[in-house]
Amino acid sequence: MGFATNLAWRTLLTIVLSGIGCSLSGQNEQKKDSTEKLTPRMKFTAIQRNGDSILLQVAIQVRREGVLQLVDYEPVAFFYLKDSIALSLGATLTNDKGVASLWIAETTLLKEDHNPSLFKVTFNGTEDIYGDEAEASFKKAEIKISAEEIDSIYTIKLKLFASGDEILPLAATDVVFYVKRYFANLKLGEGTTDESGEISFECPRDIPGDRFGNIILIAQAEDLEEFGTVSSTITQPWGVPLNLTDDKISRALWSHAPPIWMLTVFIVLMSVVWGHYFVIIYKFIKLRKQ
Amino acid sequence: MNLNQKQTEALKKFAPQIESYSRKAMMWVYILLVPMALAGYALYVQITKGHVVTGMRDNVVWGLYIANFIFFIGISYAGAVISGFLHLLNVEWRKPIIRIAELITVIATLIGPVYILLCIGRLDRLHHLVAYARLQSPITWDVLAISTYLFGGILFLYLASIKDFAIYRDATDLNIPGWRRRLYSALALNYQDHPEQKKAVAVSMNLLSIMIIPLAIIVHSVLSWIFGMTLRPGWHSTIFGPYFVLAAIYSGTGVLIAAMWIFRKVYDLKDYLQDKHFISLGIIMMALGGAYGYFTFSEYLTDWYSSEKWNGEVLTKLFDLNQYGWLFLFANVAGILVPIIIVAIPKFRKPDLITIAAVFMVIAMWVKRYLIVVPTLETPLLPIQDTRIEYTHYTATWVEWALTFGGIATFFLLFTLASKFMTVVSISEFETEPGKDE
Repeated sequence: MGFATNLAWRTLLTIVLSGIGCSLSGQNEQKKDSTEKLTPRMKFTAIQRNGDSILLQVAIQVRREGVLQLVDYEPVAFFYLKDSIALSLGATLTNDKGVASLWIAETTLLKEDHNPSLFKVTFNGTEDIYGDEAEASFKKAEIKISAEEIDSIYTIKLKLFASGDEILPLAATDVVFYVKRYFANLKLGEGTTDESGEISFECPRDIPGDRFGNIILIAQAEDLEEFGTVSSTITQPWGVPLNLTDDKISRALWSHAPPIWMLTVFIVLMSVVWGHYFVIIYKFIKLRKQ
Repeated sequence: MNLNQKQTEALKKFAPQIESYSRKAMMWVYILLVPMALAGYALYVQITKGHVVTGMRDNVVWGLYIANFIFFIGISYAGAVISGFLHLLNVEWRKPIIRIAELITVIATLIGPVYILLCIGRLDRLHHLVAYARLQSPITWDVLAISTYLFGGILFLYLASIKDFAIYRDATDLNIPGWRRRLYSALALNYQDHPEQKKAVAVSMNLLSIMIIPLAIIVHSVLSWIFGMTLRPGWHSTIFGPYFVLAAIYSGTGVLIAAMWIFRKVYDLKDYLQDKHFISLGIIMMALGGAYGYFTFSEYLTDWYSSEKWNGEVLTKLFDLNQYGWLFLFANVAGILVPIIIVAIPKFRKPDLITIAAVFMVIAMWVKRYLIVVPTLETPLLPIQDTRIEYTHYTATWVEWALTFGGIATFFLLFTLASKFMTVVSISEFETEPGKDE
C-alpha cells in the first residue's frame, strides 16, 4: 500500500471514528433515579381578598439529596369539604416556583356563622414523588379599608374583623401596609390592630403612580391561624403622575420621531429611485406623442 | 415595425405560443387550479376560524408563511440582478433569457408579500402600516422597499417589452383576437422604431438597470434586517444583510435555470435557449454557491465559537438529527455542495444535470429559509415559561401547506398566462441569427 493511499485510509478512519465519538458524546440521556420515592412537603394557604374572593395556594417542595427543590408544572386539585364530601373546585398546575393557585371569585364557601370552612388540596405525585394531600380550614374575615386626607396627610384607615352574621373585630393582629409595584409590593408600614380591630397608616406623598397618579394600596394581615391571609386593596390618586414623554429625547431610534440622519437618508433614497421612475414614465408619455 | 429576417423567423417560431392554448396547456392550467382551489378553501378556513388553524402560537409566531415570503422575494432577484447586471455589461447571451428573468421578478414579487397578509392576524388594521408608520422600524423599511422594488420590476419588464408589443401589434400574420391586438397597440405606446424612440427606450433601460441593482440589494438587505435587528439567537448577525442578498441571487439563478429548462422543453427552444446559456448560468450559480457556502460557514462558526448559551441552543437544534439535523444537512448538501460539484466537473455541465442541481438548490434554499425562521423562534433569548408544552414547538398544519402549494401553483399559473401573452424570448432583441456565437 503506497504512502498516499495509506495516509488517505488513516485520515478517513480518523474522520469516521471522530464522527462516531462525537455522536456518542453528543448524546445526553438522563438516567432515572432508581432510588425510592420522595415525600413532598405541602404548604396550603388561602388569601381572602377584598371580602369578595378567595385565592387558594399550595406550595409543593421535596428534599432531594439534602436540597429542598420545588415541584414545578405538576397538577394539583382543590376541593371544598362539606359534610365529609369533597366538592371539586378545580385543578391547576404548579408554576415554575412550585406554587399552584386557584382563584375563587366569591366567598360563599366561607361560613357566615364564624365556623371554619374546610378545604383540601391533593397532589397525585410523580414517578419519583409520592402523592399527598393537605387540608386547611379558614374562617371568613375581611379588612375594610378607607382613605382620606387629614391635615394634608394621606391616611389609610383599616378595620380587620371576622365577617358573617356578626361582625367580630380582630384585635392585637399584625397588619402590613403595601403599595403595589411592578414586580413585587413595597412595604410602607406595619402595625397591630387595637381592641376594635382598627389601625391607620400614613401614605407617603412621593410614590410614583401611573400616568394619572393612581397607586394601588394593599393592607394585609398575613398567615392568621384561623383566617389565612386577609387582604384588601384600594386605588387612590395619591401617587406622582408618570411623565411618559421625555422632552430631552426628541429624535431617537426609540422615540416618536426618527433621527435626522435617518430621515435624510430615507428622503434621498426614495427621491432618487422614484425620481428615476417618474423620468421613465415621462419618457413613456413622450414616446406616445411621437 | 419593420422586422429583419431573424426577427421574422423568430416571430413565426413563437407565434403558436401566444396565439392559442394547446390541449396540454389547458390541462396544465387545470392541474394548477387544483392546489389553488385547495388554497382558497384553506384561506376560507383560516379567515373564519382564525390563526388557530395554523401551527403558529404565542411562542413560535412565524412559520411557513414568512419562510415563503423570504423565498419568493429571494427568487425575484433573478430578473433584477441577473438581467440588470447582464444588460449593463452588454453581455450578448443574456438576450434570450431576459424576458424569463424579468417575469420571475415581477411574479415572485407579487406573490411574496401575499404571505405577509396571510400571516397578519388583523387585516382590518393593515392601513396602520401607513397611518402609524415609524421610519425607525424595519417593517416600514420593508413595506416601502418592496413596493418600490415591485414598481421598478414592472417598469423594467414593461420597458423591455414595448418593442415586442409593437411587433405583435403590427404582425398581420399573428392570429389573435381584435381585443388583444388593441391591447398590444395600447401597450406599445405608439412605438414605431424611430431613432428618437429607440434612444428613449435604450436610455430608460440603462437608467433602470442601474437603479434596479442597488434597489434589489437594499430590498433584500432590509428584509434581512427584520431578523438581524432583533436580539434573537440565530438572527442577530451583522452579516445577515449580505447573506440574504447572496442567498436571493443564488436562488434566483436556480429558478431561472429551471424556468429556462421548462420553456426549452415545452416550446422546443433549443435554438434560442442554448446549452451555453445553461453553462453560463451554471457557472454563475457555482460561484454564488461557493460564496453562499462561505457565508454559511462563517455565520455558524461565529455562533459556535462565541459559546453564547442561546446561540448554542439554536445550533444544537440545527445539528441534532432528532430535531432539525436532517433538514440542515439537506439544505447544505443539496443547497451548496451538489450544485458546486455538478458544475465544477466539466463532464456534468449539461443542461439537464445543471437543471437538476438548480432544482435541488431551490428546494434546499426554501428549507434554509424555514430553518432561519422556526428554530430561532423555538429558542428565545428569554426562556419560554408558563406555557403549554405544545406551544413551544412549531408544526405546520394542512392550511399552511395548502396555501404554500397554492402560492407555488399561482406562480406557475401566472408564468403560464404571461407566456401566453408575450413570447418568453424577446423577439425585438434578435439582431443575429440564433444558434451562432455573437
